[in-house]
Amino acid sequence: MNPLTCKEVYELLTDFLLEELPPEKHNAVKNHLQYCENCRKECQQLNQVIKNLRQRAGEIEMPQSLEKQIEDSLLSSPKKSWKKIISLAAVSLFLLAASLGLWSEYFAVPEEKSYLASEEAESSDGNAAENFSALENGNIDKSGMAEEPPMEQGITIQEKKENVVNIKETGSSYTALDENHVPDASPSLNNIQVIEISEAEGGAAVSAGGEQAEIIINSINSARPADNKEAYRVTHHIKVKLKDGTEYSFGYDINSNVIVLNKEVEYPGPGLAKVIKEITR
Amino acid sequence: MIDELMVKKAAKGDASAFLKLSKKYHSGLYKTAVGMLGNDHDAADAVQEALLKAFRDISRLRKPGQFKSWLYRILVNRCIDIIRQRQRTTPVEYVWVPDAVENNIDAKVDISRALAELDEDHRTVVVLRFYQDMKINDIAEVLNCPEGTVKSRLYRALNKLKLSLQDCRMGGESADL
Repeated sequence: MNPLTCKEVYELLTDFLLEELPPEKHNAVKNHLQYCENCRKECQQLNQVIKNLRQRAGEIEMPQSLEKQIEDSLLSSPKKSWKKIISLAAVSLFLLAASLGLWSEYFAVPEEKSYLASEEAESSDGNAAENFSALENGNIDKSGMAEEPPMEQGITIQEKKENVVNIKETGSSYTALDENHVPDASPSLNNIQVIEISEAEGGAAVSAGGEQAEIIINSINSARPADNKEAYRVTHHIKVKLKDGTEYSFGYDINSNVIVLNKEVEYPGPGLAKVIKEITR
Repeated sequence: MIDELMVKKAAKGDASAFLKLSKKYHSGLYKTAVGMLGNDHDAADAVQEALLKAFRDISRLRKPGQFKSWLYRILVNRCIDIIRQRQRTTPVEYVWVPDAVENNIDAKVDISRALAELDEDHRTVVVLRFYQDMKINDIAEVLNCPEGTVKSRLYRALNKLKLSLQDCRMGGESADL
């Protein structure tokens, strides 16, 4: 690489100090600094600024009282109370209907629908809605930053309240989240108790461990929503048990390479098909 | 994918799920707010308000994988609101008031003051980069702008900070920022 000019070095100094230059350029800047006093001085000054910033950042600690305040304010926020009221109303309705012998599959569906409809109504007012509309229209808010990144239309999961729901048409099943239990948000190999794989057509479940377990978890955690109309037929069940007691059971279609949870179809990260084949052959 | 499920639970009003999801960012959000606002009191308010707003609006988050950048964006916007509010109601010379007088170490006060003298755009990238160790592409996602813009803002901001600190040490007036 040709020696750099002072102007080129000047432009690269920040990246050099942040160690974000490719090795060849990093060395070129380093060489230049060895013989150019002006650039060396400039580098030292910038380095001092960065050092001061990092030092200042390191000194900031969040007060413990704030954590408590955040918790209290979130848990007592109106959204939760509103949900609670609706949930209680729904439960009361259910009990009333059950006691009258009116319960039926037909009745079960509108209850959840009305719950979601209320939520939409609630979240469609206030500033948030204005900001969102601005974003949808391609406007930028007053700070020059849209409130939300431009997100694609997602797939809505209708989470079931029962612990286990069988999806008859595919033969797959899942263990839904317990409503009162918050699982570990980021499962890693450290908080996993066991991963079991079984074929949908029957056969004993096989445990996955080591590198295979790692690939399975990475694949699941990095899964991305697929086309909602993606056709699939579950060929395997993947059950993940966490140490905190949470269980997830995913359907997997090895032919289409899609995983299914709550009828939502997702594309897993790389390597899942290979590992499942290895484990179940 | 599990995070995505938590986002969906939070979107249905589950405050515990939202807390669990956001908890790992609380400390980072607070540091960012202190960097942006210069004092603990305003920073605490900004973080609380940002989290409440995020919880209220989480059902609108279409890509759960962008939860972190979305959360930081809400916080940055809230901080900028507070800064502008101050500018409207406070004489310019009192806009920045460090509350760390008891730790009045020159370098610490100098860097905080120099940071406060940056405009909002430049201050934001510096704080996200050096208080949060965010990469350029992550900052671009938070600010919803091209990476090139983040880089040039960062470059200019560091040079302004450098000049500002030099002026502080020479005891002169700060550079015209």
